[in-house]
Amino acid sequence: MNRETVFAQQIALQADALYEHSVYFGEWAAQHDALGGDRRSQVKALERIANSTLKVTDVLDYLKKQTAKAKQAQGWKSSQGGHTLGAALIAFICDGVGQRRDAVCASVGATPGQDPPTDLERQQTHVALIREFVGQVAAQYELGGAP
Amino acid sequence: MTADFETHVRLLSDGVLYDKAQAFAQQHGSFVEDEQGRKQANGLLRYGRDGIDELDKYAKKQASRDWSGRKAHYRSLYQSLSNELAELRKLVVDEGLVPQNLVKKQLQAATAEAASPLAREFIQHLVAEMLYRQGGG
Repeated sequence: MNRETVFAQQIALQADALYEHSVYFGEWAAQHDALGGDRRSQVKALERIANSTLKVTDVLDYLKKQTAKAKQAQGWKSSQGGHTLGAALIAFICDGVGQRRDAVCASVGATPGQDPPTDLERQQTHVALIREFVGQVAAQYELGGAP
Repeated sequence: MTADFETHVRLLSDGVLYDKAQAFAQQHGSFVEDEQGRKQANGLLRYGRDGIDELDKYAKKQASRDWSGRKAHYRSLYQSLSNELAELRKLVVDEGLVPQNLVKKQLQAATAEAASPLAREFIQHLVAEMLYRQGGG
């Protein structure tokens, strides 16, 4: 198996493991009408950035700016369990998705005949998992009541 | 800019530059709490796009202004920013992003060219973080 295929398989496995979290965030955004009147466009914008960027921090910076702009207790600042949607997403993308990236890289490194992942491969894996995660969140959001 | 250089910048942006911006915001708090602060943030974004030399000139000019009262913290903020930019110039040399065996003037120009995308990335992370802190995220 070539290296790209090994990565693709491991990313697909770990993306499946993100699903329950995606459902949680997608429902949060939809049920609480969290993103206001233009919520669909904001979810689409997040998806567009995730799909076009090569950097994790482009997604984080976007979420920070949108969260900063949101009105208190609304939109990206809608609160659940003591956290705002924006802050919870930022933390999950860094830590939760970051753990899945580590799992992918550990599996690839443990595969016979494969070298340990490079820093670039780690970054690309994180971005790939963010795309999967955000895509799942957007799909769940659409199911959960988007207009 | 080569593809290798752009890849290197992206790795630095997601790693050391993001961490630096977080630490800088932690040290200085948010400065975008009012209209004056938002002007400063816009200034940083604008000069950040113009390259590290222009950004550094702006930071030094701002640091030398007669800030007083509630704005007194801007002096130390801009002094720190100028120091950060000096560190970015050192970083591109340490990371091997600047050709060796250049005469001083060429070295300065090559260093500025290599460090400018890093400065832009740092400022983008910094302003996002400052806005987020101020916005109560």
